[in-house]
Amino acid sequence: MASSSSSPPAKRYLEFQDSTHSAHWLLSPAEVAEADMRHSFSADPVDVFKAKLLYTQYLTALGRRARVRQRAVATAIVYFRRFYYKYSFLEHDPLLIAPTALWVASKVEECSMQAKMLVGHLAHLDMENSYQVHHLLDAEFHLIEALRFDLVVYQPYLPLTEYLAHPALCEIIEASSHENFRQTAWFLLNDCFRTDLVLCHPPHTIAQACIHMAGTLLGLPSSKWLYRIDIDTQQVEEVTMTLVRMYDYCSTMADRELQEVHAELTSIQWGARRPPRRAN
Amino acid sequence: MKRASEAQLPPRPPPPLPSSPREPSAPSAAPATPGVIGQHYDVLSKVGEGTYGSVYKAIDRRDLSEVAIKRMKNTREGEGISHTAYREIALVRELRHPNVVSLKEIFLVGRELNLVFEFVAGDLAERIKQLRETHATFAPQTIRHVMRQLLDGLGYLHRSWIMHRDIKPSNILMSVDSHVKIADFGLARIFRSPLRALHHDGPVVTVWYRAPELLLGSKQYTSAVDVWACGCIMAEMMLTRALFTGSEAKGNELQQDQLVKVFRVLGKPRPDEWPKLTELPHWPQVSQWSSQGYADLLAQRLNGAQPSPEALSLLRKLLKYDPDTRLTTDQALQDSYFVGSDAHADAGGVVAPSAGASGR
Repeated sequence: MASSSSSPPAKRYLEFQDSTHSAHWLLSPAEVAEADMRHSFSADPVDVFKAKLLYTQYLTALGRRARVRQRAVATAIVYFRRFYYKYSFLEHDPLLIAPTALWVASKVEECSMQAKMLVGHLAHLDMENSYQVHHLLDAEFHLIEALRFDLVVYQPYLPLTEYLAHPALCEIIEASSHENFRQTAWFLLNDCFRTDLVLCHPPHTIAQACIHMAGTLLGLPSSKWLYRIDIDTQQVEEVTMTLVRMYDYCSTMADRELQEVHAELTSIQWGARRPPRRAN
Repeated sequence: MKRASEAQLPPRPPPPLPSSPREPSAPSAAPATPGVIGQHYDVLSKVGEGTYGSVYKAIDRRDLSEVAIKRMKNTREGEGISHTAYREIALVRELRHPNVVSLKEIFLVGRELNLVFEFVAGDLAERIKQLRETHATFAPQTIRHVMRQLLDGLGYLHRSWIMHRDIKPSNILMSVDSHVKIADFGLARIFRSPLRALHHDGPVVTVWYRAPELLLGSKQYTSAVDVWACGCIMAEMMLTRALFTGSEAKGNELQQDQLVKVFRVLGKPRPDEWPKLTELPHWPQVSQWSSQGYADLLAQRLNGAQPSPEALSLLRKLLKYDPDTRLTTDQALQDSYFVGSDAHADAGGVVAPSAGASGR
C-alpha cells in the first residue's frame, strides 16, 4: 500500500526540522501579538505579558513544591503559552490550565505524579485555587486537543549543554571565567521562559542567544565562537533584544503590578466552572 | 504473556458485527463495535482488543482509504490519560519513516482518544503462524527483506534516541507484499537524558524476546535490547516458531525458565565474554546454576532451516550476550549478509513452498 518508489529517501533520524514543534509551533512575534490582542482580558497588551509572566512563576513554584523536574516545568510553560495562543484568558481559567499543563507535562516527560497529590499542592500554594481532580481530568482532554496532540517539545537546555561543552568555546574563554559564564548562560536560559520566545524561536537559536548575551554581560568573547558555527544572526539578535526588553521591563515593574493582574484575572467570571473558594 | 495484544491484528478478524446504533462514549459498559467513529470513519470490524482499548478497521469516507483506529480506554480511574497512551501519542506524532507505522490523525470522541493509523493487512506473527500451519517456510530472501526493513526502521528510532522496548512479531506489521512497519509505541521511550531511570518503568519487552541483560536484572540497559529481539525474530522466521519460549514468572521474580531456554541454545554466558555480567543483580544466583546441559547449539537448532553462513553469522552477532558488543542496527545493516545482496531482488521474493525440511 505504501509505494516506496515515489517517496523521498528515508530520513536518518528525527530532526527538529521534521518535528511538530517546528511544523506547527514556531510562531512569528506578530502572530503572538495579534493573538494576545484577541484573547486579552484587558485593553492594555502589557497586561497579557504580565499574566503570562505571573503564571510562569506560578508554574515554577508549583513545580518546585510538587518536586517536578525542571524540564517538565519548562514543557508545562510551553504548553501553557501554546494554549493561550489558541484560547482567551476570558474563556479558560489559567488557575486550572496551569496545573493541568504541569500534570500532562509530567506524564509526557516520564516523571508523572498523581493528580491527587498535585491538587493537594494547589491548595497550599493558593487559597484561591480549589480545583479538584475531576476538573483536571476534564481539562486534560481540552488541553491536549488545543495542543493538537503535539506533545514533544524541544527544549533549549540540550543545545545549551552541548554548546557549553564545546572545546572551541571553552578555549576562547579563560578557565577562571568558565563557571561564571556557564551559570550566567543558564540563568538567562531560565529567564527566556518568562517570555514568548519559546513560542517564536527554535531551541538552538535561544541557546545561542544565551551564549551571546552571557558573553556580552561578562565581557567575554563567546560571540566570536558563535559566528564560527552556523547561526541565524538576525534571529539570535531578536532573541537577545526580547530578553533585554524583558529585563528592562521587569526591573521597573513593582510586585504590586503582578498582584493587580492576578486580582483582575481572578475576578473574571468563568461561569459555573470555577468551584467556590475554599473555606479558610 | 504480558501486554501481548497491543495493536496486533489477529489472524482472522471476527466477522463484522452488525453495526449497532451509534454508540456514545459510554465508558464502563462492554463496548460494542461502533458503526461510526468520529465524523469521517465507517467501521468495518474490530481487529484487536487489549487492556489499552480496541483496534478497529475502518474506511475514511473522505478518500475511501482503509485505516486502523486505535481507540484508547481510560485506564486508571482518577489518573486520566495513561502514561502508555502519552508515550504512544507523543512519539507516533513525530515519527516518519517507511518502516514505522504512520499516524494519520488523532481525535477525541468524548473522553476517548482515537488514533488513526494507515491500515496494514497483517503482521509478522500471523504470517509465521500461517506458514507453520501449512508446513511452509520463508524464502531466504524474504527473511532478508524483512530483517533489512526492521533494522532500518529500528535504526531510525535509535538514531532519534528512541527505544521501542516491545519488538516482537505481532508488533511488526506486514503487508501482503512484505512491506514491514514497526508498530505499537506504548512502551517506547526517549532515552536521551532521561528524567527518570529506565528500570523504574518495570519489566519491558515480552519475555520471549527479552534480552539477557534484562532477564538478569540490569538497571541501565540500552537500545541493544531491541537488537536482541531482532535476533529472536530472525531465528523465528527461519524456524517458523519462536526460538526461546520460556514461560513468564510473575512480578519481579527471576525469569528462570526464559533464561534456561536461552542457555540451552546459546550456552551459559561467561564473564570473559561479557565483562559486566558479574555486576548484574541476578548473576550471583544464576552463576550457581550447573552448566550441565547448556552448550552453544544454535547452529544445530537451525539446522533444519539451512541458513546460509552469512545469515547464521549475523544472527550470532544480533544474539551476542554482551550488549556492548552486540551489533547496533547500523552495524547490522553493514553486515555481509546484507551488503552482498540485492535489496530490490529481495523485495520481490515470495514465500517458497516447503522444501520438506521445515519440521521440528
